[in-house]
Amino acid sequence: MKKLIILLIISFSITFSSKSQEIKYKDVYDLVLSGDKEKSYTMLLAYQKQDPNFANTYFQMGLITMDWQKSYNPFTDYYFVKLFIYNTKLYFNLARHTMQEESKSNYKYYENAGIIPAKGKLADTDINNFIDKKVAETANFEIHINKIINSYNKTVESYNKCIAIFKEINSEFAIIKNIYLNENKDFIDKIDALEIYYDSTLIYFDKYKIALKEYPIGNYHQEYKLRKIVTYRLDGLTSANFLENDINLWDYKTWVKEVKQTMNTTIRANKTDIDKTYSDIKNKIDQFTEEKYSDEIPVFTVDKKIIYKIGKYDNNSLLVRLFNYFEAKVNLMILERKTINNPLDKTFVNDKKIAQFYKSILDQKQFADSLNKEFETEIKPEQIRKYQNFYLTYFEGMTGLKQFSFQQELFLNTEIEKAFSNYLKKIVSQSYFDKEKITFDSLKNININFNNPFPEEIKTNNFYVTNYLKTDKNNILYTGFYKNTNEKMQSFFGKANENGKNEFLTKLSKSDTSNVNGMLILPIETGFYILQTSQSDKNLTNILTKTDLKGILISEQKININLTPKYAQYDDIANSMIIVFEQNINKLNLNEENKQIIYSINLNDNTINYKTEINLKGEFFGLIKVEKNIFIFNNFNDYTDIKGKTIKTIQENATNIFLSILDETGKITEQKNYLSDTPFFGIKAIKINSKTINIIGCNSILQKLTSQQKMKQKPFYSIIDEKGNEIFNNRHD
Amino acid sequence: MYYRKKRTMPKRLFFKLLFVILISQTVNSQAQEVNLLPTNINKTDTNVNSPYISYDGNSIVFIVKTQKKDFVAESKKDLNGNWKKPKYIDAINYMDSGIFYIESPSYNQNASEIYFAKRNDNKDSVFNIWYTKKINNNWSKPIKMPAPINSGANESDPCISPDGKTFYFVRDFVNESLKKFECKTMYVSHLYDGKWSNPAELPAPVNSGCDRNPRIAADGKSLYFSSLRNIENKNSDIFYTKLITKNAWITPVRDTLFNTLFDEFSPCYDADNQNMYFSRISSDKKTELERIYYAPVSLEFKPEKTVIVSGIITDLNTNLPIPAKIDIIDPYSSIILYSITNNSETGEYSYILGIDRTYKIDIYNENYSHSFSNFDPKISPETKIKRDIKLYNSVNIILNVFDNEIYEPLEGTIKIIDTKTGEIQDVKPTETDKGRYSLKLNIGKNYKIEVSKKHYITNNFELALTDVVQFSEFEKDIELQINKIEYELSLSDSETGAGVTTTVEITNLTTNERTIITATTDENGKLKLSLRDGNRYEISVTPNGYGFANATVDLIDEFPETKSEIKLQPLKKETKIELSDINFEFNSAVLNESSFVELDRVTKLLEKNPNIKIEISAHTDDVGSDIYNLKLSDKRAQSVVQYLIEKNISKEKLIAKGYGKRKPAYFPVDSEENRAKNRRVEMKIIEL
Repeated sequence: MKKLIILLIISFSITFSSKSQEIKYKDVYDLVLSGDKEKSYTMLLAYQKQDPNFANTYFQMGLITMDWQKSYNPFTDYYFVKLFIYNTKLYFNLARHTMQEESKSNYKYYENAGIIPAKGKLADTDINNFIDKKVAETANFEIHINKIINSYNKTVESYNKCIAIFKEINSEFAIIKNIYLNENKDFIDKIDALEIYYDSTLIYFDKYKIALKEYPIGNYHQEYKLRKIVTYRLDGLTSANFLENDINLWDYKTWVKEVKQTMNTTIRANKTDIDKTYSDIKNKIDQFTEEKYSDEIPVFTVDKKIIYKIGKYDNNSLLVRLFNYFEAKVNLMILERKTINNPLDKTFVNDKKIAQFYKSILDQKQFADSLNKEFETEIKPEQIRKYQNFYLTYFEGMTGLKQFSFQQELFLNTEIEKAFSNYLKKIVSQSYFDKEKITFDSLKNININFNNPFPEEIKTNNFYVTNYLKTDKNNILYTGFYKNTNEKMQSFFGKANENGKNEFLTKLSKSDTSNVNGMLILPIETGFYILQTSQSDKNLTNILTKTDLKGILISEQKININLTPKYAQYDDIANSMIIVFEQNINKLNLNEENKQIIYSINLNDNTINYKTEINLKGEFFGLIKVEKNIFIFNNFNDYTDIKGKTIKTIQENATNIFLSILDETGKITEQKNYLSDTPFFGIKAIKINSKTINIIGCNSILQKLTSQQKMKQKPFYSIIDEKGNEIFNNRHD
Repeated sequence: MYYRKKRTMPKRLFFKLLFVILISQTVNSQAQEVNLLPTNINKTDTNVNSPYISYDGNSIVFIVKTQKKDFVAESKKDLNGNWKKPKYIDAINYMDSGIFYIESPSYNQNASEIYFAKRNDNKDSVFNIWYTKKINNNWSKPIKMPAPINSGANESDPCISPDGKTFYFVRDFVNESLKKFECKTMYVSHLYDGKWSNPAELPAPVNSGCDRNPRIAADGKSLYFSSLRNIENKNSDIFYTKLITKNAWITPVRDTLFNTLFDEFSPCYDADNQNMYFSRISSDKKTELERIYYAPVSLEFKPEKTVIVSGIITDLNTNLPIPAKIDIIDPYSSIILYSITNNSETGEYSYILGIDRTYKIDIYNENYSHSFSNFDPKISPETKIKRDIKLYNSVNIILNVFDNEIYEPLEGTIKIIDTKTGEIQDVKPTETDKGRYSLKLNIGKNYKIEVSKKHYITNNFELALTDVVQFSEFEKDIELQINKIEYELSLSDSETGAGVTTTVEITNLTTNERTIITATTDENGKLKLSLRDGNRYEISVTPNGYGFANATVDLIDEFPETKSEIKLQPLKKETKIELSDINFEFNSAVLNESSFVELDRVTKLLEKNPNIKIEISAHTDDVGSDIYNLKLSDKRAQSVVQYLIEKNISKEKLIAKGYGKRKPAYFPVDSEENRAKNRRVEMKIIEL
């Protein structure tokens, strides 16, 4: 730029010398003597154009620019100072060059410079010496000023670079804790650069101070004070005024040091712990690849300390979500390895315990599912960045994590279906236990049959079991009929111990006039209740028989209901019984009309509490007491609801279930059905606790199936709350 | 107002015209470059002069002369770059009711102000400099420039530098030898601390004795002006000079590209199109024609390149224009080179930067965020930069409040206090997630943010939003430290009162954290525990030789009990322990799951003391028949025993007994409270 100006000066003087009035140098010199440097300089430039070879013009201009170079503030007007240094040297050199042509009469124009002649009168050598001195002085000034300004500018540039880098970091990371977890090399390079630029700032500042001390200019005595970066995104982002004597500098060094310290100590240690935790989890999961069942595996917990450590630096952490999921998954697998879930295990477990167990599996699966979903929704780049190496090493980054979560969802669904299948097998095998294995050692001469015979196959003095059950103590109670010598069917009941040894067999019927069949047997504390059905012509009469523990008859109570008992539940505290009668039991086809009566009897005085009728094409499969109400569960093809409306299943000849809620008086207060596109068939309704009922079933009518088919059925699992609302099922329709 | 005093054509002009024709070949080669502005500006029936084009090249202001009066008009470029129909600026044209003359309007750097000179039509009146501002898209009532710019002499031809810090104008100087023109002297004044300095003459030979229209170019250095210095031609030409430093200038020179033998006045350089706009007077015998021209400028007379940065400053949230200040700063010295404001109505701003240095630009409003940018000509080679700025007047603070021990999110109370006034601010934080709060705080105040929660030590921090704000969102973790309560637990033998040493199991029921500590009581049987305020604990002990005992420590109340005493019953025959929280289903012996915790304690006791045999007794309230209650209680006792058997306790050690309503422990038996208490299960040691 300065060159351009000089060129302009010279070129204007040659090309555009106007024809305005001629300037007299005496007038110019007078102006110089007046001390107005701007006016003088402007006029000197004009005169220089008029007479480019006049040395004093350059000499005076040299004096002026030399004065200006020192009077200008190099910090704010460095451009001008450099220009004036350049011009001073140029003008003095031009003065020296053109002075040879100058007459001595012009020496008067050098008087204002205060040159002291070496020998009395002013001579060229005096002027030249003066010029040399001024040029040397300017050169010296230039060296110092460049040194000062270069150091100063580099100080400012380095510091401004710090601000720029810090601003980038602030833009990239909304929260400082995210910085600690960042593993990106670019970021590490960035904070390294921040530190380097910060150090450079101070180094250059020291150099500047030394240079300023060597050649003091102005009244500058700058000292810096460090300000701690406290509020992230507010502090550390503003520049400093390096011309003030008290400079406030953001302490980037401490900030970087603290960040690095946290990253290199706490976070690194955390990451080691995280790797170890993950490795432990993997090993734990690997242990479950073999289908070994054990009840001794303790509940698995991810070390809470590591969760806390992660949480401290990573609020709402993806990693914590992952570990929480793993914890739930491992605990689900532990549950699945419990002996009760072993389909080959024949240990008898009561229905409630089985139901409770599988509900706990369902709860655990749903818990794991929810954690997996929570985890999946948080798989975001900013989360991945926090533990990038971990996710890359073990999950192949973000895509791998998404894939992992998806696979886990499938895994959990597979696992729960496997569990439900085991549940169904367990229920089926316990309900339809292998009768062939029951031996009756003490009754070898008596033939007991567990299979329903065709009428023509019924043999005299053969005992045919209609109903049997296994008690908690593995005893077998059974009841049924035998054909006596009068060709009449007569009822009996018996008990075998856990080894199959028969303890007693009692013939109940006293009349040879009708066919009597033992339909249901219920153990009570003091003996047994047996429900017999007596048939004469087309009329059915039911008899409730009570015996002692040895099978000796205590009492009999006639129940005038022309239906067959299907199920009975005894309340030993209230000494009452609820019996479910049906027109047809053990049907192979549920598409037939079936009258159902829910009958409640007070056994203290044999009064009838209520008798409630339900009309349906279907059959009963469960009765649950819920507080004061009774829940009756039926499989149905259709039924008539309490408003008289016929409710049908969606598919023809397919069953669904419905619930009738009876109050204390036996009145049906509400009916609910669980219609579905998928047919399903309830096998058992089991109360898990006061608020939860579980229905286990399958997708086909069980009576039609062989034992093997029964075991291969797709399980149907449902959870009903205390109000009869279905809160879970595995139908997926 | 013409420069000429006389409106008749002098002989000299005749010869001049003749000369023009003679040398037409030469002149035409140059004149081809000189263009008239279109007729919507250069009207056929009126004279126009004194053009001044804005730095962005999009607006022009000029004088329209009529017989009666001078008018200031303004035109803008349409999207195709054509000048639209000019509009008269009535705020200037009708600022006084009488007749007056107007001269030399000029814009400031972003054409939001017009400076002009005005003189009333009376003999003693002189020209003064005035200015008007654009407010609500209208020009405001003009204001007279203060002294020392206006001095009482004739002041005219105002022009303000792009940085708004230097003011050029002319004052009267009548050259008696040159009657043709109203000769004037060019002056300059500088703005220091908001005040204009005493004007200084531009030095000779910039001022030659008859000079007018000083117009500083966008670079702030190149000055164009008209001058009658060419003595031979005696006509006004346009000259160029350049500021070297302060008030030192290079020798003025005349550009031959557009200067002719006619009079050229009012130069104004359009940096965008690199043309010189000026007015020229051409005349014949009868009339004088004043027209506005534009022409290219010789390379050496062009100002230094500049960059014009423009855009709109709006509120980020409302998108409405907001007033803002723009500081152009030297990044090395931190000195504000100049400050400008934008158009507060339209939000429009523009500023001009030289390309010989770097700049830092700070755009802000006192109650808004700052927008910083750097300009480095090496990085930004464009000459026009469009940059819309969005500032925000509030920041969003996200606070994650959590417990510093367990890192659980906490629902806290957030109070915002203005640190200056101490007033609590009406700011409603939104809880976006548990323990995660979002709140908006206005910029321009300093705040103390106080996060409190019952039972926790209040955490507060300060947020200085009077500082430079550059981010609209802050997220901060607030770790609250829970108060610790020194809780004194006494474990003593219920019979001897002696302290008992045992393992104490503490379960924090609030956090579901279980800590097992072995605590040894002192000689007085006391134990000190540091517990979390506001939490509920269950303290459970099963000492050897004693019955188990548990106590719930509830620290939720404001002034909770800080000590409790557990008297441990020595295990011996007939020791009776009432089991708590044993519940059954309605009219049933089915245990509720809530009973399992206590029953597990019984299990543990029996495991630790394998030699004892116990009776589990169940009791009912007084409602119902005796037989029914006996049956019910008996069944319930059996259920409890069954539970213990399932936990592998030998059935030989267990006896179940139902007492129905026969052994109530709480009286009167018919109150609801005592009925609930009497429905109980007890454990009694039968053998030891």
